[in-house]
This record gives sequence, structure tokens and C-alpha cells, in this order.
Amino acid sequence: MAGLRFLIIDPDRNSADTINDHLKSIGFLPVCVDNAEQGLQLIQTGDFEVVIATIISPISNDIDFFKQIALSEKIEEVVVITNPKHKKQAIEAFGVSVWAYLLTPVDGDELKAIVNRISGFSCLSRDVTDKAKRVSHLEVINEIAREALLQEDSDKLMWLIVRLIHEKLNFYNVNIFEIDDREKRAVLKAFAGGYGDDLVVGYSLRLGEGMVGWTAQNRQSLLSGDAQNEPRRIQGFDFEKHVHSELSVPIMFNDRVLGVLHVESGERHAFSRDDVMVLETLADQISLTLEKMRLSHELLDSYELGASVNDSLPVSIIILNQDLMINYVNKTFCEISGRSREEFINKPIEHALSPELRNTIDLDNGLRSVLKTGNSIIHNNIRHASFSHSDKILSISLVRVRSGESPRVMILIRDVTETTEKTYQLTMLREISIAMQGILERDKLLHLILTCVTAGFAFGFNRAFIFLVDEKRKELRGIMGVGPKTRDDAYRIWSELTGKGFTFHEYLDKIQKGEILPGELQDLVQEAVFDLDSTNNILTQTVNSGCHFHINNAWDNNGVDEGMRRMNISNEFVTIPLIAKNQVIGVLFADNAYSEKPITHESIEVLTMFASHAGLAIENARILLDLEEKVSELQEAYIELENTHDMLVRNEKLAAIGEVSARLAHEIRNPLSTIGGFAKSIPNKCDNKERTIRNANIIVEEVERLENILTNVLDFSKPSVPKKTLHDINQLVKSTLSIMESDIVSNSIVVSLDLSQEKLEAEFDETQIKQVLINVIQNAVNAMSAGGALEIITYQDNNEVILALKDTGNGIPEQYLDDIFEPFFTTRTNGTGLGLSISNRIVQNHRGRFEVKSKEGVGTTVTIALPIR
Amino acid sequence: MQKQKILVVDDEVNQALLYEQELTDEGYEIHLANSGQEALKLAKTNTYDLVVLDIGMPDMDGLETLGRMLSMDNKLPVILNTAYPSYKDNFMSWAADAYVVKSSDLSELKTKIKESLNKKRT
Repeated sequence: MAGLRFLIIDPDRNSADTINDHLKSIGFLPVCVDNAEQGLQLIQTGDFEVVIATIISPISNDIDFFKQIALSEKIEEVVVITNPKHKKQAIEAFGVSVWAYLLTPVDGDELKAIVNRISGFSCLSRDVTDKAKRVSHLEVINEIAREALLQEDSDKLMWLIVRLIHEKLNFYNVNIFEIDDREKRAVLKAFAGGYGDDLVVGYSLRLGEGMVGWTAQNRQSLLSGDAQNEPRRIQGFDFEKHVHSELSVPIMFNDRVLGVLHVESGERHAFSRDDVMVLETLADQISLTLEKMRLSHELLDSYELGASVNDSLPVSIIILNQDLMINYVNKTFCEISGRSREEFINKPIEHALSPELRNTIDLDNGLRSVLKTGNSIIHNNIRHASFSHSDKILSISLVRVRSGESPRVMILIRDVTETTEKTYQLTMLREISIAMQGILERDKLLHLILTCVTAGFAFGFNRAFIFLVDEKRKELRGIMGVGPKTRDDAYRIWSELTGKGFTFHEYLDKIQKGEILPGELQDLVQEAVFDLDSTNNILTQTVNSGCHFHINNAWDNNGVDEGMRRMNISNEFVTIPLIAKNQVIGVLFADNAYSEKPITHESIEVLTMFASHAGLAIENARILLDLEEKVSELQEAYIELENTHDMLVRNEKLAAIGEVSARLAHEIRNPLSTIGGFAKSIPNKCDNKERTIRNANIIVEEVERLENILTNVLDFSKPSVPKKTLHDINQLVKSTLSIMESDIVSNSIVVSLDLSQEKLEAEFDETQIKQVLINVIQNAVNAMSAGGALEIITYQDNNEVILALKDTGNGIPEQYLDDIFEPFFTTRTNGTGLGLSISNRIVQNHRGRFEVKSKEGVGTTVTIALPIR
Repeated sequence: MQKQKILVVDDEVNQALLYEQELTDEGYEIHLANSGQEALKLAKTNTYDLVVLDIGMPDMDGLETLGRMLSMDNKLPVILNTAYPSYKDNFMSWAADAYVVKSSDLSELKTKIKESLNKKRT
């Protein structure tokens, strides 16, 4: 019940004090003022929900006062204090903004009853608003998270985020500042909302300057509900003098402030604790995304580094003369071929290079062409097996050189096997990283990571396991393992896989579709659970230190305990921490259990880089899982909202039933009291025969009226599922008119028919629609008591038959048009007010439309549209 | 002594007839109006000692009629007479001198009329 703020406006000190005391006794702290002007000023601050105001004096501007209160959006309820002297003003005030009234002297219990009712309404409506707000909060978080996973360009993402926050959360102004560490300034990157063109990207603040600067320096959120009086705030722009609430939230990564998310509002105390929470969550999301982008740039850099390493490799050089005889070979070529320089000089090229290699690149023709034209020829990625080593990748260039008179040709042979592999690995790694960010189901992601660690196209380890940290239980749990279970398996699987020759993208596709599942190693890994506090082995050390371990003496190593041995680990293995947001979230384990190939320093380096991507991808998948939970929470909130709504509708229905009963009671009470009154008067003067007869006639008349009401009520409450069969509407019009002929004739009404030429057939309940026609025609007859014209038109329009009845009667006054379908609404003394309401219901039960257009003094047109089927 | 004049306002003709018959028997002079407008018209040209006013009437309802009558003569005793007991809770009705729910037993109405007229005289 707490939370409502009351403003009392009462010039009478005593009366104000009484109300004040009563409110204080039930836990409220009202504010009292003694004049309307001061009251209105306070109302405009938006700090009050309920106003209790007296009808101050019988002056004419009292009503204006209540009208002005009604203009304030924050004010939920107005209670007027009054006495019989000022009843006129009080009555008028009710029409303007007043919700309840109190009589002087104010009764405490009555006041408390009113406050209770107000609190009830207020709680319910606030509950609904809060829930709707939470739903939209969750929606924004969800949407931004999804966008962040897809977006590659950080600038575009920033603009997208501010726009989303502005639209969905409805804040007046939303900014993102980025911290420039060198200049020590917060620089505006993106904005959305109120100030439009007045802001520019690049506007900046010193760290510590203004609320944004303060937040960047202190790494804390800063909220002000009364910004104009906030000492840490500076007013950067003139338009900011209208800002009353501001909220700055730091965007942090690993204790480093990357930026500030800043929102403003023109209302006081506009931001709730909920808003702060939501913006902090969003800031987290933004930081994670920025970090993801930074990492992928880093990877790109190392890719370029690989290419430059390529350039500095030693090169074999052979120089031939015009006759294609060898003039010169360099040291590298001699070393690689294992022969002395003298063995080559003045020998034909066949002597130096194998026929396979010469044929592959069509060397003889190439050399001649280069000598002749001077255009160099470059052959890249030449696979060569017989060069004393197995399977090398070569890059061969043919270049014309001039030394002295005659042109010569130089053959440059670069062994690019290592660099090509490294480049290939890095390219692969980049592709894998991109793919990882796209997989959001944890198990598929983990499977992809492990497949990459074990597959020949990437790292080529024999086996790889993933362990994840369970924060709650303080455990490191084995989650997934990939690789053959035994040496025999290993040979079988390798030969199968090599036979099939899957590419990375084929693997990715199969993993995504669930066609490849982690193998039998799974059981072995999932049995492994290590307590992080009490176990001290290489795996838990990896978690606790955040460093990788390369062990090549596992069988004698104290750090390899019984629990690790159970996984049949080999003598040499490597463990790499999986890190996300500065926290170790798991461990990647890899070994070469079957090939026993040594693990190189380089492969560990690349694996570490890969692990940092994997960690982030796992974290993304985890966030998605969280989000899914939030989404289900969101759905629950929706359902709750719906239930609340249903409840409101039910209550409204109950209220409507109550209203109908009250009207029915009234309808019955009138004739009943007349009947009783006259009946009682009969014995008093029974000798007055004339009077007795008149009274008896009135009694009979009123009884008939009662019977009529009851018939209509029964019609109204009767189950009304129409029994539809095919009928001609024109036929129905004619038969109904014949029933009512006497009424029509006696009122001198001229009927004209404009019916469709053809039969106009539709499926309807004949009895019910006939009742509708009778009701409508009866109304027309009543409206034309002094005579008039009734026109009936029928026609087909698409899938509906249309029946229109136009009269030239009194018409319905405009102010009643909204009420005519209300049960018991009537302006006639002898009407029950049920005719139109029943007719409307019958037509609606036929899935048709019942429309009434009327102009006072001109007439009424009723249009009935019924679906043909 | 001159008969005291009462204006009965009710859109239900039979109800009005009943009041006319019964209150004439009590010795009052009864005028009938079957709408708010007609009542106001009569009140302008006649001086009444009391008005019996129905609330549920089409066009101008009894409460509106009450307000307008009191603005013409705020000392005029008015008895609200209605089939809706719930109007008793409506604060606008306290502007009237009394509030009687319609019933076949007219004794309460008759008592209230006497009380109001006596109060007026003192």
C-alpha cells in the first residue's frame, strides 16, 4: 500500500490537519498546502499521485482548478472534500477529474476506505505497467544480443544499439561514448533521440568531467533523478536545461573502461533500479561484442605476419644462359640437392631438375618464352614429391636477367611448405573462429572445437577433451571428448576419414545437422569430475593459474593424479585454459595418444590463440542459453499479463451483470409499486365505482407491461445458438410485414420495398432473424407516431446479404447513439430497452453486422448484413 | 386555510396518477409533470410547497432537474423518489431533503412529505 504520495489542498487548517493525521496513521506522509496556486505548482513537479482538495470557495474558477489537475499525467486520483453548501461545484468537479468525495467533517473510516480503494487500483495498474515494462526490457536485451552476434562492424553496432534502446525503452536521449586512452577523453560515438542534429560524433569530455566522465573515471554507474541539482553534472548543450534525469553506465572489460552508455530524460526520477540493471546488462553485452571484434582483428594481423615470414625464407637460385645451360646455382640449392656447385655448371637444366617437376610446369617452353619476351612466369603451390624430401610445396619463378651482352634466365625455387601450412592453418583458424561465433548450441560448438583440434586440416592432435568449470559446485567437469578410443580405432577412423576427404565446411555442415556425433570417448571424459578446491592436478592447476601446461613426462609427473590417469592419457599432452571475460571457464586438453608425434611449441601457440576464440564462443553460447531462459521468463510474464487481463475482463463482466440486475430491478419495481399502490387504494373507496374501474384498468395495464418485460428478459438470456437453414430473405421481409400490418396502417406509415430481383438466399435462423425484423420495424413505427415512410432494401454484396430499413422518424439524439445496444437502455416510457440489444446479439451470433445510423429529426437507418454461409 | 401545493414529477404516467389520487386524498393540491423540462416550466410559473421528484427519467434525469430547481429556489423542499435504492449512495442526492424508494406502500412518502412541510413552516 505504501508508495502513494498525497497532496492535500485545504485552506482550513483544522480540516487539513485531520486528514493529515488520518493518513499518517496508515503510513502515508502527505504534503499540505492552503491554496490552489501552490497546489498546482506542486502537482506539476510530478511528485504526487493523489490529490485531496477542498471546494475552496464558491467562486467560478473552482472547476478550472480541477480541470488543471486533470491535465497532470502523474495524478492518478482526485478526492474532493465538500459540504452541502457547495454541492453545485462538487457535482461539476465530478465530471472533470474527481474520483471520490468526502464530506466535512471528514470521517476517518471513510477516508481510509477511499485510500484503500485507490491503493487497490493503483497496485493493479502499476503491476500491469511494471510487467509490460519488464517484457520490453527483456526484448531489448534479447534483440541487442542477437544483433551483436551478427554484426561485424563496431560503429554500425553502436548506432544500432542506441537506436534500439531509444525505441524500445523510450528514453529521451541515448548516447554511447568511447574512451580514448591516449587523450584521456570520452568521445561520443553514437546517439539517438531528442537532440537530433544538435549532437555530433566526436564531441568529447575529459575523464572526470561531467557525469559521463565521472563514470569513466570511477568505473561505476551514476544515476541522478534531479540532474539540475547534481554537482557532478555539467551542461554541455543549451537544450540540456530540460533534462531532469540522467544515467551513466560504464562499459567494462577486464577492469578496463571501454566506454560509457548514457541516457537522459526530461522527467524527474525517470529511471528505476530496473532501468539501471537493464543498462548494465546491455553495457556487458556491448563490451563482450567489442572484445570479440578486437580478437578477430588480432587474428587478421597474425595472418599478415605469416605472409611476411614467407618472404624471408631461403630461396634456391639457378641461372641459365641463352642456350639453357646452367651458369650458376646458389648455396641453398646445393645444400638441398646434396651436390656440389661444380656438378651443375655448364650442364643442361635436365641435370638439376627432375623430369616430373619440369613437366608439371612445362619448363622448357617457359624458359624460352621468358628469354624471348622478358615477361616473368610464376608458378605457385607446386606439389613436388621426389625432391629428396617427401611432398614439398614449391613456388617457382622464371625471370629474365641481363648481365653483360646476352640475356639470361633465372629460376627461383622457394620451398613454401612450412609457410603454406602455417598460412593454411591460420586461414583455417580464422574460418573456424567465424564459424564458432555462428554456433550457439553449446554441445555442437564444443564438438566443432574438438573436431578442429583433432582434424588433420587444423591441428591434427589424436585426441582432444573439453572440461568446463561448474561455478556453483566449484568443480571442473569433463564435458566432451573427440578422437578414437583405441589405437585400432585410430587406424580405422583415419583411413575412413582420409578416404572420404571431408573439408572443413563439410565437417561444419555435418556437425550442425547432427550427422556426426562425438565418438565413444565421451563416456571416458564425462566420468572425470575434479573438485577445484581439493584436487591439485594439472587440469585444476590450469584453471587456477590461467596458464597452459605442456607435459612430456606424464607417467612420472606428480601433477598427473589417479583421476587423470583413468582417461588413458599419454606421456605427452597439453592443457590450455579457456578464457572468457578474464575468467577461466574451462580447459582444453589435447594429446597424440596414438601417433606419439611430439607437440611443437608453435602448435601450442596457435592452439592458445584458438582457445581464446573458443572461450569467447562458449561464453556467447552460454549467454544465449541465459537469454533463452530469459525468453522463457518473458513468456511467463506474457502469460501472467494475459491472466491479469483476463481477470480484469471477468471483473468487468461481473460488474456488467450487476448493472443489468440493477436495471432489471428498477424496471420491475416501477410497475410493481404502481400495481401495489392502486390495489391498496381500492378497498378505501370501493364505493367510487368509476375510480375503482380506472384503477383496475391501470393495474391490468401494468401487469401486461411486467409480462412483456419478463418475455424479453427470457429472450435475452435464452441460449442463442442459431439453428441455421437456407431461407430467402425477401420472403422473410414480406411475411414479417404482414404480421405488423395493423401497426403500420394505424400509424399512417407508407412502406416501400426495393428488394433484389432474384431470390436472396442465406443460411440463418428464421425465427431469430424474424424477431430482429419485428424489433427494428416496431422501433421505426414508434419513431413515426405521426406518420412517415419506411423503405426496405435488400441486395447481395460479395458474400453477404444486406437488409437496410430506413425510416423518417424522430431519430436518435447523438448522445445516446453509444448506449443503444446496452440492455434496458430506452428513452421511451413504455419500452423495455431490450429490443436493439437482443437484435444486435442475434445478428452477431450469426457472424453478421448490425449497424444503426441516425440523425435527430431526420430518421434512422438500420443495416443488417448476414453472411450467405 | 389554503391547500398546500405539491408538484409530482414522474415519466411513468400511471405512477403519477397513483400519487395524484393518494396525495389528493391526503388534502394536498397536486400538479403533475412527466419530464424534467415540464417540471421546470411549471416551477417557474407556480409556487410549490414541495416537489416529489423521480430520478430515472429520459432526457433530463431527476438529479439534473434537482440541481436546476435548487438554483432557481434553493429553499424549495424536494423529495427524491426512485426505483433505484442505489442512488442513496450517490452524494448528489444529499442535496434533496429526503430520499424515498418507490414502493406500493406510500406511508413512508406521506410521512416524509409531512416532515418536510413542517420543517419549512418552522
